[in-house]
Amino acid sequence: MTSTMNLRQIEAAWMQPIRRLERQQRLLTARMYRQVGRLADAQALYADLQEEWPEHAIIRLEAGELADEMGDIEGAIEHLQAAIALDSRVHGRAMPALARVLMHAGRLPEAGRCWWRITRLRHDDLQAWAGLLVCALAAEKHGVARRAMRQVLLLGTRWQRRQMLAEHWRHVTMALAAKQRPAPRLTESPLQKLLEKAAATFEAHARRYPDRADTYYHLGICREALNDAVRAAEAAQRALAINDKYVAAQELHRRVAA
Amino acid sequence: MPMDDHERLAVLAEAARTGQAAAVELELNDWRRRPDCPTAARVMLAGLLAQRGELETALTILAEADERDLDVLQARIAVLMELERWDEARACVDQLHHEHGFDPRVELWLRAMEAPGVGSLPIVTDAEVEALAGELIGAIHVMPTLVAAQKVRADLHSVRLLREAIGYMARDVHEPRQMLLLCEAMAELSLLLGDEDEARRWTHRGLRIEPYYAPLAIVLAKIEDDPTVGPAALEVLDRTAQRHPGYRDVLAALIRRQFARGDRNAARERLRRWQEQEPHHPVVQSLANELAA
Repeated sequence: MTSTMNLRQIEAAWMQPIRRLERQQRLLTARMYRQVGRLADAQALYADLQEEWPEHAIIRLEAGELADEMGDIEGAIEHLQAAIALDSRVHGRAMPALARVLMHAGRLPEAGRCWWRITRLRHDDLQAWAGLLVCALAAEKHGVARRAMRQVLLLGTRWQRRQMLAEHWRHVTMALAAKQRPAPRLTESPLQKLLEKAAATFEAHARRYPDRADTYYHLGICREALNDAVRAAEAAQRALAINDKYVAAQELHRRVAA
Repeated sequence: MPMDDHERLAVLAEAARTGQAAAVELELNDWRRRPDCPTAARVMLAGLLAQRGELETALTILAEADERDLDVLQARIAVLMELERWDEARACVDQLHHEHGFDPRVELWLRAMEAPGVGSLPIVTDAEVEALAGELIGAIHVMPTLVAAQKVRADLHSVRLLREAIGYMARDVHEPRQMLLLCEAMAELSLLLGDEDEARRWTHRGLRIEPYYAPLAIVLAKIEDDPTVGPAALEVLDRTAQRHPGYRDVLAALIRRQFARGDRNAARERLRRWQEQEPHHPVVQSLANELAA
């Protein structure tokens, strides 16, 4: 007999006595199933309860948490958003859960906004500020990250902050791997940066001490290395105008004027 | 048409989002055993496991991945912090800083996460040092200018970056003239950082190449003698002044050193002889005022 029944029929037959229970008892049973790891059974019960009790925010909230646990991220988002829309009393639990699920989904700007909304409700909520910070870091919103960082530093102990931030980071790890971020590269030449800074230093120094031949010489060397031959020649000329026996400046002038 | 790694990872990520996390995990586990498994796949698997709290297993998988990869290092640090394995986390923080710390995003991440050891990280990274050393080796003539700029207005990052890069270059430079330039730069930069021991070591190293090299003799005049490292500053300055009688800065350094060491009569006598030769030279006048003060 059983072998001819399909799975849905088996499930329906098996669930029948449970369905005869009061709603409250069924909710407790669903919670128990979830607790002992019978997630599919719990999911079936929550689906039934939702059908009968569509306006009940707790059912949607718990169904959302369960869906997240089962890896159904889109389902979890739908349930949790519904719970938040139905009843503001579940916000304290549903919003962090939604933010975390959005992090799993890689929807980092939305997750960040969700954490931010929680900080509007509870300004000293370390979990929310840390969540906002991690989302901003992962989404490369550096201004937001810096602001969130300042707030995080005001809350909890260092140990608590580290634990909270590290825990949040694991919720974005998979999303970041899926994004396959390009590895950071040294895009600017360190030598070029040093030369530009050195040129600025010598320009300022020459304004202050206009009779120092060596300052103009070094300025000329910087400009030559930065491929600005015309201004390098000008600097060499200034050096030679102060000291015409300056051999290194003569050589520089010969090189850049050629 | 077979999918490339990127497409396959995108498909898996989408599947994991839509309730197929278990199947995705199985596929990633299967992929992980193959030698061509990309780092991102390993990180994705570790992320999936970490999401549901299997931190130790996630760490094992991350240990198999490219240890220089940004995602791998950040994930490892976060998991190790959560497990309170501080020493290992600190080692990963060092590595992340050395590999990618030149990137302001990475620096911000380290500070924001309050990663262990972040307060004691060096201010320059290996990547920057290696890049600068590679560039400087082909433009060694700009090195004295870069050092001179730091003497006019020092900034700690530039001084340290230059010193590390020049130290790195010194391993491969064998030509005496180039080595002399490196020694001079290292001595000057060490002096700027207040590291007299290093300044002395590099100065004497350079003087062994060119015993009459005036810029190094002048550096030596600014630091305490150490007979275990090399000859006294007075001896070096004296012989250099004799070899380069027109090098006023060497003569001034010699007179100052004599004066500072208490040999005031000898210093004044040397200055008097110099004043006879160049009574109006600004260096002579300024030195005379200095000793009279």
